[in-house]
Amino acid sequence: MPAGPGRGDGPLLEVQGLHKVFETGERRTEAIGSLTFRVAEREFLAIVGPSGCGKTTLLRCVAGLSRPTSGRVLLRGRPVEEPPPGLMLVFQDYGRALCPWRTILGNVLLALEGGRLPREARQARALEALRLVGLNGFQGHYPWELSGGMQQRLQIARALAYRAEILLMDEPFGSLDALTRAELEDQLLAIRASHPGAILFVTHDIEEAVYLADRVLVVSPRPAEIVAELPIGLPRPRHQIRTRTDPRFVEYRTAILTRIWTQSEARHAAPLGDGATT
Amino acid sequence: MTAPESSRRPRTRAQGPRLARRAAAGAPGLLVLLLLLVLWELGSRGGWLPIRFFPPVTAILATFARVLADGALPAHLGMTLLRMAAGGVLAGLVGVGLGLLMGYVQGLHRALRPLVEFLRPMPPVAVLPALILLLGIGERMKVAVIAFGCVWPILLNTVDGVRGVHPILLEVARNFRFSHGATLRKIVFPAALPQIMAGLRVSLAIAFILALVSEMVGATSGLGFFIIFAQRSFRVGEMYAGMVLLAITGYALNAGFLWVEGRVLAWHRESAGAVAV
Amino acid sequence: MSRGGGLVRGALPVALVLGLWEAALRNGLVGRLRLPPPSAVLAEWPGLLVSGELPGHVLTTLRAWAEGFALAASVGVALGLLMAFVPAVGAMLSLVVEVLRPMPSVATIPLAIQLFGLGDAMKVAVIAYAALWPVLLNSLYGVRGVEPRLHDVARTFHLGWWRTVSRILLPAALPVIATGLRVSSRIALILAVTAELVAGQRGLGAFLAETQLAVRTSEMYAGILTVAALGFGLNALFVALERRVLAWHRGATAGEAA
Repeated sequence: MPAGPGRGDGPLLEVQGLHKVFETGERRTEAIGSLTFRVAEREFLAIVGPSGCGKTTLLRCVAGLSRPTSGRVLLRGRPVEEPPPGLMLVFQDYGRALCPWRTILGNVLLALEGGRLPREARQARALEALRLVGLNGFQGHYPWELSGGMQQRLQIARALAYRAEILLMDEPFGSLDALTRAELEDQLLAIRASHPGAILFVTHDIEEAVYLADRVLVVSPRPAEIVAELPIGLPRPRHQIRTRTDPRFVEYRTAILTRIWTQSEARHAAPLGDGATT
Repeated sequence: MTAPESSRRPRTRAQGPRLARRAAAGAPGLLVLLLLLVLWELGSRGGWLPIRFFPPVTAILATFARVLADGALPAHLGMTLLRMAAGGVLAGLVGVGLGLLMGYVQGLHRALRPLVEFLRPMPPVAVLPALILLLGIGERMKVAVIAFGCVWPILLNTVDGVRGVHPILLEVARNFRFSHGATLRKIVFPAALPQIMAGLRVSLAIAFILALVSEMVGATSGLGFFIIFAQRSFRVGEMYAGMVLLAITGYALNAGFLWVEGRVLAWHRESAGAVAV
Repeated sequence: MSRGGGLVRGALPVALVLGLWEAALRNGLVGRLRLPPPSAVLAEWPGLLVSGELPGHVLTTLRAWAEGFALAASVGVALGLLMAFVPAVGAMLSLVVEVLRPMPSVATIPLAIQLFGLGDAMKVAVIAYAALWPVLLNSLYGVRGVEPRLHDVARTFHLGWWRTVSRILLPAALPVIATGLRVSSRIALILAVTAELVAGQRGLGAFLAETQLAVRTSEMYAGILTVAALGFGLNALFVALERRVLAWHRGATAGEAA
């Protein structure tokens, strides 16, 4: 993620009225009702919502991998229809997103093979990315030799080598155990400290969202809509103990969880026929 | 990753019992085999088994050594292997090339699959006479029949391999804005390789069989020709010698292929076994 | 997309190729002698099937097939099961099996000719030898591969040897054995035609060799189609049988895959 001043005017990412409906045969699923939000340069925006509320669909639309039914996505003011340069998606299922036939280094180099850097420069950048995530020394190994946490770090290293301006992260730590998750959360924040860039982070874990983000959007289950927005005023650098025991942390968490509960109750109470699905 | 201590221990007496156990497990088989060979030898020399059907084992082995040493048999073997290679390479290029495209481009697959399903069940042996009519009984006919038989497992396995590439990997390629060519080269082909190798393994056996059959039907060289000609000339010892070499060749081809597959797919066997924690 | 529509769409490329072939021949682009137009082949095929030499050859091949396959199936299943249930026998025969396996079955044709001459016995011998292997190996591995837990179940119920075999091991191994039989039947047909092609006097293989030598092309292609159709029919027969006998298996494995 490039250090240096941002462009200043206008947000990095704009999502306007995003609406997505899936039609398979006779079934019609409204994954996303209407989403409108922005991500500023170098902002860490977390999106929280229960599983299955369309968060993955959202990221895929933002990444240009899926076409929305209506609404649009703008990256630096330009509409996204195909995966744009400068944007990288980090998948939850790291095992599937890595190339088992390539070494660790080879996997990171994949990010650079579409570009025009000469070989030495590519090697250097790849090794630098591995160093940032703490995987230097494992270049010659294969993904299956790494633990889950390390494989996810590899995916992040690959994204870093790509020099994405914005990272889209789809519940990246969801498949990991709690201790590894905490480790990776801090690693992510550490990387950001030296290489600031925008991150759009999707998770169902409220505490993770509050811990990591500058701002949190709470999204309702299908059809996805923003039901709350909270700027997170916790100081940086964040700390697994100090931050998480900060009374404001607890307040944020309470507010978000309460919002989600009331939202779900409202959904359950709503009469059928108004389009709301549970 | 360092190897655990135990694997670096030198071979001690603890290994002894394991080797002994393996030898013991194989012993009955070996004994039975030797017993059968001895019975054959005695039966043949003693006159109970007619020599024109079952020459003594030692005579067969002597004949085997002779035709091996004077270069006749190796030459025929070479011809057979050469034809297999030619047909196999042809089938491989067409099968993998077309398979990659068919697997990748849904429209092409829909268009060509019925044609494939129509041609595939044709037993290559039955197609052989047609190829003789069209191409004569020269090398082209043999290479053609081998290629025809081999292309189907390769093609179908390649298509399956391509379609089995996990969608996430394809999305990673799209995210990196790879061209279709780059995606096929860097992602689809390596990911499909295990399945492609499985298809190649099947086609190896088919190539061997078809080479032999085509040589029996119309040839003046090759192992298939050698054994059928030996039979027609009533040189039974040479016929058996040829069969022995065929068994050895079959074993060697298979073992060789497994070795190559092991090297090429070293990453796959490991990752298939490992579980992401 | 309706099934009918899919079928039409699927037939289109085949029809296109055949149409081009026909057109090329009618316009003299390709020698008519060696590659007859599909129309000629298809026109003559039904006629040949009901009269003339073809039916006789088909029956000859089928008879040899049936005899060889029956022999291979019975010996293969019996021997395979024996080797699986009596480990001593398995150990004794394993090396012989391993030594013979790599040799292609077609290599036995000259030996069979030497032993039996050029008649039907030769064919049946070749067919039986070749078709033995899939059945034997599948029976052996089918029983050996039975889920170990089922063995434990049998032991906890004190079922005794016979009932364990008949009520648990055999049914569990049956799908694998059935596959072996189906593969074996296909190999049996192919070897039948091969043996006839190389050294036969009657049967489809011999018919193909004859018509090829005499350049009776339409008949030859009709013969080829007949072989293909026969293979297809036999396969369909076995699949249908499998489906009926092993209905439970498909349900179980479908559940596993879900």
